[in-house]
Amino acid sequence: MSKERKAELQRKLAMTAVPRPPADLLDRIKADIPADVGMTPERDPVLWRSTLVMRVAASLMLLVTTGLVTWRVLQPDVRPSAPVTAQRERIVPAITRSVTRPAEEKVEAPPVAETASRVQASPIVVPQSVPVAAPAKPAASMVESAEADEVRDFAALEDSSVTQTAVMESTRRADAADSRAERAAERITVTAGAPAVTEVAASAPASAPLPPPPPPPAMAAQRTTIGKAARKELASGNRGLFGVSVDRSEFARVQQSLAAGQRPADVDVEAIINHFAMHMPSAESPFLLTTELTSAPMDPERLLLRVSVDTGKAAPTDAARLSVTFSSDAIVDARRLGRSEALTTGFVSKEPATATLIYELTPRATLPREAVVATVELEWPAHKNSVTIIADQASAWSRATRRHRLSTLAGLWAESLAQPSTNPRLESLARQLQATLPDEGLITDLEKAIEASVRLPR
Amino acid sequence: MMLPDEARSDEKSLLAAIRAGDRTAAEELVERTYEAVFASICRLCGDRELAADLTQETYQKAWAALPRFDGRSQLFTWLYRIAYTTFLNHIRRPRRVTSLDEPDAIEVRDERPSAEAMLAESEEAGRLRNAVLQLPEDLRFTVTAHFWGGLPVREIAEIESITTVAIRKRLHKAFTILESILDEEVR
Repeated sequence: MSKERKAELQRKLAMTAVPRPPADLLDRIKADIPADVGMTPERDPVLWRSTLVMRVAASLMLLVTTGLVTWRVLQPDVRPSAPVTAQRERIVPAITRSVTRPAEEKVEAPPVAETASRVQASPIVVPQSVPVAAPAKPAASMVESAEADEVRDFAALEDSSVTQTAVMESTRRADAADSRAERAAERITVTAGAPAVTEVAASAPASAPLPPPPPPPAMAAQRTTIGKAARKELASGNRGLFGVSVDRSEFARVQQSLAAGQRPADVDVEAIINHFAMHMPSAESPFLLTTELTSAPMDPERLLLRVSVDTGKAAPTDAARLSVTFSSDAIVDARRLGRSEALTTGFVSKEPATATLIYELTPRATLPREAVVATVELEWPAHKNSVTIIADQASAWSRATRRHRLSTLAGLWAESLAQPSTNPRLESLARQLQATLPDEGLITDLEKAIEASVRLPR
Repeated sequence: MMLPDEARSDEKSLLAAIRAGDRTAAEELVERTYEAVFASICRLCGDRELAADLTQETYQKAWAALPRFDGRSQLFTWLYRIAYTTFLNHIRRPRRVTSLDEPDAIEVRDERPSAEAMLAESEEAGRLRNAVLQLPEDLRFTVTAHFWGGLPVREIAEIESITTVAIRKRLHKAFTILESILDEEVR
């Protein structure tokens, strides 16, 4: 390559013209600054070191035990003599404990105890007079469903008699949890009238229904397959984080139905929302919590809150928790679009995952700019993110990010499919998006689907 | 505008203030850097509106990642890395999404001019950008960070954990590939 040519390339690269940023960009970025910017607590070095040592020790113990058990089980010359049988009896319980311990830990504390304690500790509770989101379950039933998911998950996860103890144990714990949850609900009733909130506290995730387990093979084989296969199932299922539906085939199903001139039935609104919200993992952190508050495009009296959690290289955990708490000082009613069930508890795999939730909020008639609208808390092992959303952060829908506009419009449209007709205003909003946002096909897909639904006969 | 070298200590105090929860300091950081972040993304994607969205997204990610920023590199260098990753995620996203839909749906395309066609830039600049985007990842990052992000070779070497000599070798190799891509297009 000649020097002249190189210099010419350098000049061209350096001289690339750049337009001025849009006038409102600075305000948009500033509006996104979280109220507690930079306030995430630093990792305690002492605690971190001791945790690391304990993890290494546990790993070594597990490795040695696995090696020992494998060696014992696979030994070809093992005879059913009395001493060896006795020795095996000692080994088998050891396996049982090592397999079921995570399940017991998972079931034991976080979902019920923490949810209940959260309700108890929080000064903000659901007052009787505040209309709670339409399909929202009372706290007790939310806890109950989370526990039921737990039991179902583990029944599917653990496919042998070895782990049925865990299921039975978790069932007993679920019963105990129900009574605790009922007590928590009673506390809610007693304290009704206190400041306020609608809904949602819960923990992480993937409760995809799993196929029936195969008949259990030998103990050694169970040892190696339990967990791996089940976790793979969960990771590839249709549930995102916190039990939010991300069914990848749902939008295609709706499109097919519309193409056939039929109004699709039983649309999974949450899956449609997540289809258009997409997965936007962070390369810089294991998980990313983003929130956005705007006016509602179809109803200026309401607000739309988007809460998105995306994982990138997050370590697998059973302890992630998400809670969204609304303040009745600011909000009269809060409703999660397409909500089919309460957020659940379970396993988060290391596979990148996502969850976007859209809430439609009815603010009070007089809403001070500094009023706290909602608090979103995401807890991950060793991390905690808390975002306080104030009324002043609400922006016009037309100025929101592409992700917010696409997902909220898709959610509103998907909900409207349950109605006899689709509001033509949705179509004009989709066209507006198409005209103002860059499109790789996704906006066109939405616009065409909305158009088709508007044209459907009543 | 990119933070100048002499403002490094000022940058540290700004960072300390943000970490202490000072929202005004965070706003100041945005005011100082957003134009440069926007410019670098705009050069990468060539679309003003998209660049604005990705700039906004960059800062959203930056606030979340701020507690883990160790301060070894300059703030803008760190921001540029996030912006670059955000851009890469964006251009990779459509493939992932479209592959999940039914094949027929992919064929439904907008007949209007594409985002590239709407760019207010010369055809030559567009060709150059496309050529840069075809470079292997390591070379692409080096070229864009140096020429479009305005990062000095030393800073790039630091965040890539290699020597400045290796960065210069990368640039030389990138120029060779760029020349061949551009020559091929002319033919």
